[in-house]
Amino acid sequence: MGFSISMTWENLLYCLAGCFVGQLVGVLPGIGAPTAVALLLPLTFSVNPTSAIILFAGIYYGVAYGGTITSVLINVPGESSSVMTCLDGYQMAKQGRAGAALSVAAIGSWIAGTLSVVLLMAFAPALAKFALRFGPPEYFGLAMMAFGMLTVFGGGDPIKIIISTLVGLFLAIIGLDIVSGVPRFAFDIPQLLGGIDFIVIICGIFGLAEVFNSLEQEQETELLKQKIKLKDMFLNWDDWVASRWAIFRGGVIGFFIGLIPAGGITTASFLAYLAEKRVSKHPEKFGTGVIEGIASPEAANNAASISGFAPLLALGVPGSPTTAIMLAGFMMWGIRPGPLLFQNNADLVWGLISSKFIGNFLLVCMNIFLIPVFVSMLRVPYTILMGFIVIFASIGAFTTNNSLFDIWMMMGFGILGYIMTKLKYPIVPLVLALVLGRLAENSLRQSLMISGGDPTIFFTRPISLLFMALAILAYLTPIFRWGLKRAGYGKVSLNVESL
Amino acid sequence: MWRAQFIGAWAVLLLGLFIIVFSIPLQYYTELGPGPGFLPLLLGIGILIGGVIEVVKAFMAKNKTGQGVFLTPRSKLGFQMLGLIVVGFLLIPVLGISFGLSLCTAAAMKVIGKHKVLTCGLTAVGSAIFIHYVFGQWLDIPLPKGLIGW
Repeated sequence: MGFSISMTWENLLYCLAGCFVGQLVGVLPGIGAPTAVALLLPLTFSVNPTSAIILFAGIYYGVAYGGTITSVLINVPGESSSVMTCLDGYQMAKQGRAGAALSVAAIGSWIAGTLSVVLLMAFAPALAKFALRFGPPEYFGLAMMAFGMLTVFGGGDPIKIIISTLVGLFLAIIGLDIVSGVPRFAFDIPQLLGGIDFIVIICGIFGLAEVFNSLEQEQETELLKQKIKLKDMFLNWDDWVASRWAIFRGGVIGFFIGLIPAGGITTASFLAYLAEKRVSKHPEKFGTGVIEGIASPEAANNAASISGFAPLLALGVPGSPTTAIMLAGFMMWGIRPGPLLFQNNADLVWGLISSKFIGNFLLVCMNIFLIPVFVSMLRVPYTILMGFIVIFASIGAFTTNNSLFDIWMMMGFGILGYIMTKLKYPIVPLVLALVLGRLAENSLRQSLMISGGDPTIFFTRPISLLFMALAILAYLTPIFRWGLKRAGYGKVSLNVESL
Repeated sequence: MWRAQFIGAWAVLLLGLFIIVFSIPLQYYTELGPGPGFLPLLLGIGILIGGVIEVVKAFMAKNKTGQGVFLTPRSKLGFQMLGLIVVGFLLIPVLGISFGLSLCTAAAMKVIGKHKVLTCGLTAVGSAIFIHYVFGQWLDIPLPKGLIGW
């Protein structure tokens, strides 16, 4: 059923466009997958939702491929998920093996991506079936668990992560209260009565803020002057032998990390690299240009970018900022992701999942045959690119209500995003809380109405208890880490920064 | 940077206070259950506590000078861009969104990127046409028009 939808000319074109844009976004500095999806989302108001979500999915996993090129050729990750690839990829490029490095990343991503799609096909419907048992307490527990996971995987100061989450929740509740109809924090401004549109916030906080932050960073990087011929892209037998299990392990790790709300593709690639180093017979060679050091994290980040759709589709809970923006897109198109999505919008779900097979195939072809095109994109000056980001962000904000007020508000959020980044308040928790805010509030209020105000309802139902326990454990993680560090157990952080 | 962190911590604390003050008039609890003020009050308290912790952390920081700087010499590029965006937005009612934003782009290329005038001019015209036809005509977005009708 899925292929009959994803193989239509229209959807094939959207898939190709998404993969191409994603690959491009991965290559270009100063623009990431959330920014690209945020800027393009308002332009899909009139597009068929299935085609639009196929486009955005293509961008999401396309970015995971594209980020590799800059990691290998200029030692600058196009995306945070490609940080680990820099370690061995750049070293291989310096040894004259850039083609093999890019090739193993592309092929590894394709194999792991395809494996992840197969697992997603088996896992997502089962997860959706399980989620049919969820009531308001379970959904509140799930939201709490998603927020809690940010303190585990988010990196940085846990207090700042919590503050950022709370600010996101606050922004989500501005406007008329759905239950009582009372305006909250609208201050008689008519434009605020309906709440602040999610698109306005993300266009500012990802689009404009990204421009301000990128302008501050030095971007003088040296592109390795190495001609990559087609024959360089083919792996030799030794490369295959060395990377086959690394791809498999990375794919499996990536798939499971992607399932965790807030797990994210960066964490997946980081853990896969560490795991590969641990099982390797020559761990001391990691960082000097070993092919497994590229195969495993690249396989993991692609697998995670695909499995990240399972919590989004089956539970309605996004696993990353990009899927959070896609969730907002679903709401914009009048579709509610969650357990019933598989019954009510089966064509969309299976069309999307099957498009991933096609998208992965398109991307591996692009990465083998179009590398010179993408490398030439690296020479586009950021001072040209930023103007277009401003145009897309402004028009994106305008289209939400056709109001100039939203453009000014978007600029305000751009400044807020810039200041938050400078002061090291993470943006991702704010975005996740913004998307899940209404769900969290409604399920909290409904649960307390059911229980007559008794908060133990969250701890007396088994599924809700499990989620709440995981949330509490997640919030306590920083304390465990601090304790372990003080006890002399050294680096226990899961953050990329800890390298 | 310490000063910026300190001011940021106070801003968080004041935001928490602001939310608490404005959530008090909202009903905290109704006969049906939690009212519209229930979550805002909890959020306000949470943000306030977070702000207090950050202020205390800033006070207790051992190294108050060696944490880098909030504004670097390159920060002025960001401010220039912000200024150009503000001017671009102010020009929208007069020039329309196509030309307002295109001029902003061209000015940014000239001021920040030091590109040639011709390159900037061509980009401005090209992006105005792109905005008008792609967003205005193809995607049918009712873009604000200026004096020349674009």
